[in-house]
Amino acid sequence: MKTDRSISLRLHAEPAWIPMVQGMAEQSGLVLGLDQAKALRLTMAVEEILAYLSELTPGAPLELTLAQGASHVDTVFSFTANDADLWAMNITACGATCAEDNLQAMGLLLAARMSDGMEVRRDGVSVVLRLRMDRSYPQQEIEAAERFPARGRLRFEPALDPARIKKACALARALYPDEFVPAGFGTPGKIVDQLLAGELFGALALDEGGAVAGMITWEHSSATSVSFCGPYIFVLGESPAPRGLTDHMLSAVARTQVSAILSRLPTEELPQDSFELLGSLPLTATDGTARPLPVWFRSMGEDNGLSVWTHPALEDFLRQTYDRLFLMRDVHSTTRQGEDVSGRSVFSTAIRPEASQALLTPMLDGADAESTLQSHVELLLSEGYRNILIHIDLAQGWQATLIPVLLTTGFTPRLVLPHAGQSDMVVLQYA
Amino acid sequence: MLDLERLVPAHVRRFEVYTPSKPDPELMRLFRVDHLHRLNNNENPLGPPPEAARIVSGFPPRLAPIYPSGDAYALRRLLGERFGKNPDQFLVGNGSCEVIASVIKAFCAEGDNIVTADKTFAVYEWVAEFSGFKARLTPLTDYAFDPGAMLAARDSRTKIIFVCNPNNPTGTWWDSATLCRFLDAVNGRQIVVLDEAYFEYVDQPEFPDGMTLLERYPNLVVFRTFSKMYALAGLRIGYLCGSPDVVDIIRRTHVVYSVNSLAQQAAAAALADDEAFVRRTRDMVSTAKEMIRTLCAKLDLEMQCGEGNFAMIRVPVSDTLLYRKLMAQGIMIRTMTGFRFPGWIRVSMVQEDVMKEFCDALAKALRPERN
Repeated sequence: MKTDRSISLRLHAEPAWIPMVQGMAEQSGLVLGLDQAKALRLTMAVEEILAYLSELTPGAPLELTLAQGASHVDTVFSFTANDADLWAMNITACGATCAEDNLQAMGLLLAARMSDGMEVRRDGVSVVLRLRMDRSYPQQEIEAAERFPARGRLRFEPALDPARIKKACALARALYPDEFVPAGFGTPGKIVDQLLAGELFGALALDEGGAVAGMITWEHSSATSVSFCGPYIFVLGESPAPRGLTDHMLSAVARTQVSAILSRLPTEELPQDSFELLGSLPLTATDGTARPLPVWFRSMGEDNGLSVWTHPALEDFLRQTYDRLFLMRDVHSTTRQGEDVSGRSVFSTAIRPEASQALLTPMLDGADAESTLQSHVELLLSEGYRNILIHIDLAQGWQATLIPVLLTTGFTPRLVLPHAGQSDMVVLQYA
Repeated sequence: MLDLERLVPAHVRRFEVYTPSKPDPELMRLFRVDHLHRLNNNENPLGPPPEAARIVSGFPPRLAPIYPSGDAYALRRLLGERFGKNPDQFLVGNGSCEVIASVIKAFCAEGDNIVTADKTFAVYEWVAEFSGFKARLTPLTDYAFDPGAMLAARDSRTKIIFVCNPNNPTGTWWDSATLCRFLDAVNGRQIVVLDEAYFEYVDQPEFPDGMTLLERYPNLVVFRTFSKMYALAGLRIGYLCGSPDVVDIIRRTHVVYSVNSLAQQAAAAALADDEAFVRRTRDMVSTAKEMIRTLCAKLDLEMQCGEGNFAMIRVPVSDTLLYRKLMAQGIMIRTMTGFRFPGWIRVSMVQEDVMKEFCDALAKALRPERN
């Protein structure tokens, strides 16, 4: 088993530290498993962020941590910020003058471009900015394969055998269209590392000859929810594999903190009677082809109701959705009623370039919410993101008051994710 | 500044918080129903035996300010008489959940583990895990505890083996021969807890009575409760019985004064002349099981029904969705996903009229059209 490795540094947001931080990032990146090219990108990303924070929150105390994940390096900037400073976490914080000729002000955006994923989270006065830099793995060619007859009874076990995991990845890519298979299956070594490290979870169906008859994978999407891909079935005819794999996943997740299971890339073999269809997201692939994504849900427990906030503009949608799903909710309506909403709004942005997807999350209300949101949309569209989503946590009344702004900006409510946040989460999509 | 990351042990941080269901009036408001039948907790809807009911209804307020007997002195004497044991062989707890914790605290130290099944009463596993001890779980075979798998799951750090007989939720059970073979194989190397929470519901000649095996197997500890047959779940009282040496050890980790006076008195009264009450309850359960069998045959549903006042039904929809649909009709059942039986529900066996309402509600909820 690999030893957890990380390095931390406490410093202040001052340009004078940039060379030292560059050196730390480059050397640590190599030690933590990145190749030279990736380590260099990490160095540049870290430089951009420190320069950016030095300009926007000069002298603020920071903690910088680089930690080795199973298949990536996490770079985390942690700092405290008051509401007035938080606006700097908007990916559009450089404002109306943000442009290629104003590179210093585009620090966050540049860092996002150089990394394989970025997210900003706020917990009280603490802000965490996380960059993910994936290790390089050899990309495998898609091999020709055909479904085969299973020999004897199937058995189901956790996916921990590297050879069988790699075989399952290859079979899934050979037998399923791209849109049903995670991009990571093209680098099966990465999937093996993630599964063995417990960053990703999986189950295999094996026939009596030991052949891989199917696989399902899942991962945590929040502290209380997981999302899954599959089940991928490699055997001919009617098979107990789909139900066996999904039951294995449900049993593995039972008696843990997980209260909801959501589909990420569900296949046609999913035993739909065990799940509930929340709706469908009309997504678009990086190449522009339509890729509608059904979202399936499975509650892990007995849902005895919640209270949620909404704006009247969304109330009908919510009530109809809850009624359809048999979810009991006390829906409370709230609006702005002339109270002073000062300061600047903040939206965090999590990006997934491989899915051409950007996910916005409100961090702070502000009088400028509409223009901030509009500038986010414009920037993300200009960066080529085809799927711009926003999650509103219905436990937060102030987030519900943003609904009219979202609708005006061009967002449309798509579906409700039960228990996906502090309460339910409504997903709106820029359309 | 409060630093919970530093203060809280890792095994507590990763433990899932158990959220009990909301009070009935709140549930009825949320689900917009004017009644709620509780078929989720295997309670006895007939209420306590008559003498216990009389104690409950007549509890004098003057006793409320006075601490209860700290070790259930009078109740233990009664239990001793009933089972032919020394009163010191009994330990009474605030429900059997408390005595589970006492046993684990008494025998497990850092690095130790317990063995039980993966699909059984969850509290053995929970208490072990949130106390920092590994729960080694073995799969059921044909819905029953697998003695061979449990023996194989032990290692040098295994201290306790928990056997639920009959098993909740499957109702399967070990007969006397199976239990004795298992205890012989354990050969005193571990404490074996035999949880007989549903003992009084069983009417099978081959069903073992753990109380009669304590002299032969001094490592055996038997759990019984007043929550199920005796309908005192609201008062929280259960007990264990074991060999004097073993109980003397468990007593050291057991909190005294945890069982209130009313519970102790009602439990003692429940044991007096309980034969007719037990028979009446068993008749109710038998009728209810027959109704469930008929329903499952009609709806072509698989069922698993053994001993105990409950039955499991495999349903062709998500059990957690079905829970909500039944709640909307005033019926509360137990989903089995948390028991690692996804797609199953467990239903308590209650009076005929309520069972009929359940059968109608289930049929309606499973109809393909919108309800």
